[in-house]
Amino acid sequence: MPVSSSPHASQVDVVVIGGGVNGSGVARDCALRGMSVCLLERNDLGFGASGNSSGMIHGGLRYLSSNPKVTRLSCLDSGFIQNAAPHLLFRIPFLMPFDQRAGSRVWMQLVDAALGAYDRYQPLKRGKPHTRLSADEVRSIEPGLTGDLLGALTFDEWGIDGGRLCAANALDAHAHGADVRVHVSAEAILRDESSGAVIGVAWRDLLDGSCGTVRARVVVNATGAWSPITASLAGLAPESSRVRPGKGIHVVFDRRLSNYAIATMSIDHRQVFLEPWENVSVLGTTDTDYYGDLDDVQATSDEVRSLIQAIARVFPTIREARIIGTFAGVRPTLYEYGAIPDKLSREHEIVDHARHGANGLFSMIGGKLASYRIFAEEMSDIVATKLGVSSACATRTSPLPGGDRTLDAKTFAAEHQLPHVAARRLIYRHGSRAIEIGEMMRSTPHGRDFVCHCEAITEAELRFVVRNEFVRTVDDVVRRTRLALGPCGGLRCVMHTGLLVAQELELSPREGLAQAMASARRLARNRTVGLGPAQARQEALTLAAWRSHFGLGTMDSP
Amino acid sequence: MSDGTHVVVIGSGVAGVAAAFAAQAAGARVTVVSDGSGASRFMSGAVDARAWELDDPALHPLRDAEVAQVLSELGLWRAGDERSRVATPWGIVRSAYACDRAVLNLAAMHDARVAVLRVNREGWDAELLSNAWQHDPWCSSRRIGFHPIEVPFLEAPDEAFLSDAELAALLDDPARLARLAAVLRDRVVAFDAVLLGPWLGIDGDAAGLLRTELGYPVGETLSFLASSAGARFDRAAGCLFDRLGVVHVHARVLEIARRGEQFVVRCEGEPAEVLADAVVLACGGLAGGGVHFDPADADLAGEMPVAPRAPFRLSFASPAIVGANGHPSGFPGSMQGLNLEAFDWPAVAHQASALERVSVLASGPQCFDAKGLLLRGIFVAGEVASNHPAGMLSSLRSGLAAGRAAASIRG
Repeated sequence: MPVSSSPHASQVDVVVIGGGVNGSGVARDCALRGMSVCLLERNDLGFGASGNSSGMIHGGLRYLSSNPKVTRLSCLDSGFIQNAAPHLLFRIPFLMPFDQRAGSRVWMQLVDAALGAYDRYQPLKRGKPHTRLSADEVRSIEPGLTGDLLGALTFDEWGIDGGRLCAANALDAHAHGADVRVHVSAEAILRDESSGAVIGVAWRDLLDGSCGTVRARVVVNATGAWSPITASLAGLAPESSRVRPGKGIHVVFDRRLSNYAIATMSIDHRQVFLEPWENVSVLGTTDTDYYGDLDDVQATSDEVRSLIQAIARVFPTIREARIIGTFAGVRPTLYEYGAIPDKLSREHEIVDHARHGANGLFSMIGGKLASYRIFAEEMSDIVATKLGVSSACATRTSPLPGGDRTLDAKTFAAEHQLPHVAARRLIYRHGSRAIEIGEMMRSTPHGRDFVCHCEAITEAELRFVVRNEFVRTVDDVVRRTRLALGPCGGLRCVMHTGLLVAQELELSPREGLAQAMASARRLARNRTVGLGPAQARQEALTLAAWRSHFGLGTMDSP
Repeated sequence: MSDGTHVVVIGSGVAGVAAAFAAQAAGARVTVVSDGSGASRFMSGAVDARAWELDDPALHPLRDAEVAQVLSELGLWRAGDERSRVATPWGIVRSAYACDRAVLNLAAMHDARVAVLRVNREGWDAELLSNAWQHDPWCSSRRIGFHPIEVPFLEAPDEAFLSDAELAALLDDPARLARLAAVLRDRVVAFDAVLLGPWLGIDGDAAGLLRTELGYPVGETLSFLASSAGARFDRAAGCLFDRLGVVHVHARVLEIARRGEQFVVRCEGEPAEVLADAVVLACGGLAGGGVHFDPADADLAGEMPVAPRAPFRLSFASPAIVGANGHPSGFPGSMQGLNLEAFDWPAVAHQASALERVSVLASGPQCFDAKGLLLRGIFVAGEVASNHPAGMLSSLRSGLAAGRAAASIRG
């Protein structure tokens, strides 16, 4: 039976609202301490900022001058995440080029010194010390960099798939008894009429329409940019859980365009970068205040151009590269009026709403991907104290699902007759759980067939993900596996995936195809804002193919 | 009369074939210049009329003698009295005006049992697809059932990894086809039809031969992008050109320019130039490669383009111009380019996306220059002449009209 349809808890110790990295992190931490947990997510795990970040666990370089303690803690925590899920991390060496303009030499000297200080913390996250490269050295290792170069500095960071990190935390929470529910919206946070204390949460399933309540003494609001909405569900003023929502977009290119990540400055003096990330290159990011619908955040062509023109100053061939998609998320930064977005704190804080009369309700405000574990630990400490639970936090040492041991891709590939690259991608996503998927490849008819060639996803992996990772729609599969996010844009895999998802979830084939159609549309919309000459032709071809399979004019109705 | 008139058709998709056919029939000498056909080569095997007029019976190919004649000359697409019903490899059953001769037409079936071959190839899951087709409302109302059956279709392990079109080509071998017929006769008992992937030959009519041999229809699902149905179209078009005596120059066109009363079509490769009395642009739209999206920031040297420009153009230089929605498209109000959000997929079914509304400015087969004046001697057909998704049959009709008009340029 799919995990998502197991019986639902009606009474738990703590309800966590929000399935981003903080919510799934708290759910896991509390579950590991033996508390009973219910996690409610209105959309999908990693739907918001967590699944749409730059995909890095960085060590807090930017805090080095103002608060080196934060940098130390960030690096330390990055090391803990690495221990828990070594399969999910990949090294991203950064190049920061400097050109020969007035003041560059001094500026480079300053950054060099800062990176020297950063080197002290790098061992905490197994990072390499920074280096200083001459102009010739830069050109030889990264020929795409142009201009009159003074040289470059390098520093070392770690990449991660944020969506997978959320899924891994939710899976471990589930393995320790948590009830994890996606596409289930919290409709009201229930409070005792006389004391005002929290007594539970009323929920509604957004896919099947069912409603119910789950009783709990503690409710954690881990809804990121949605925080004020969630606080208002308890009858509190939204300002009690205020964030300053900052939209960030990323542009995805069809392959790894550079050998190293390249960091440079945008026209408004913010750091932007082009990073080789998994099979693609990711260009990011913007930071603008966002006043739109959080359930429907999109990049605009104007934002895409602003990023392109920034990186093109140092890496001009970016203009010839093919954009295959964009993604956007909204950061929940700490509220402050008057500060420019880039200067807002990425710090986090916990609001105890007892001071607003709602005893037992807590909001997690702010934070960043790299500090999710420590944030979750701090939150869970408070929950544990509140509930009189004495067991200690276990997330520093216990591995996330799949992180208990490292598999060798070459051996795995040979054992399962898979191409090496497919084995590597599979192990990247699932760690040691790839062994279970490997067994499914043998035992399931078509198990070894590739559903998505761009990301090398087999039918066995797809079925495994639907059965075991809280999948309820085709879009959920896209977020778990990166299916359909490659150069073909889902043309060859989305409809087949719709049929497979329908079969696994016992939906009608038409329902599965309708879901697939919705995914295809969403993906197309995210590609459109980056349309270039090559992609325009593919888009027209994709439309023509779609029409020729559905019939002209009947694209809506599979 | 068009004695000695030389018509050059640019493009060898369905519009180009029809234009060549009509021009030749009207007495012109015809040369087709193309670098391989575009969107027609990507066809699924379903033949549509025109967008959003699917239920207009007047558009049925059998009710238009001239269209029926081209279809019969091409020998590739079959139309029944009622609309065809065909199964897609996406698990849908759809209607079409006509379909590739190898595609199984379910239209006449009631209370039927269709055998679906289990073939060990990626993306072909007989169980999954049978279940999806069976649940299609049209099939369930007709009580048409789909049943996977085990038949040794592949003869070598590596056939699992061939492309659909490569596998289909193996079935052009009469001995191979005879073996398949024998196997089906042996294994397929008490079924009304056999359905399989797009693997029934490229050159020959394997589906027709099997039907004669076995007494029940054997046919394919629609093809994926750029597979068997498109390859068959390419082959059939080439054969038709040979039969008609049409010269086919395989080259990319660079420019069409006026030279006195004539036009010179400059090509990449050999011959470098072809002289024409009339030219038919049947080069396809954005999908086919006849139109390019060419925004001003595409070939940027600095931070801004040298000058603003219209975002779409033909893939070769020509007096004809490209517009959107039937209007000339000027340069946008930004040096950075258009708001690309406008090119999103249509939210409503009966709408064309902005990409599909890009076409040569034309009225019927005739087109206009940048000043809005009618261009004498240049005609246009198919997707590039249509500011909505064209469909095979409307491309074919517009090709016929353009071919006829081009042949009578001197008369």
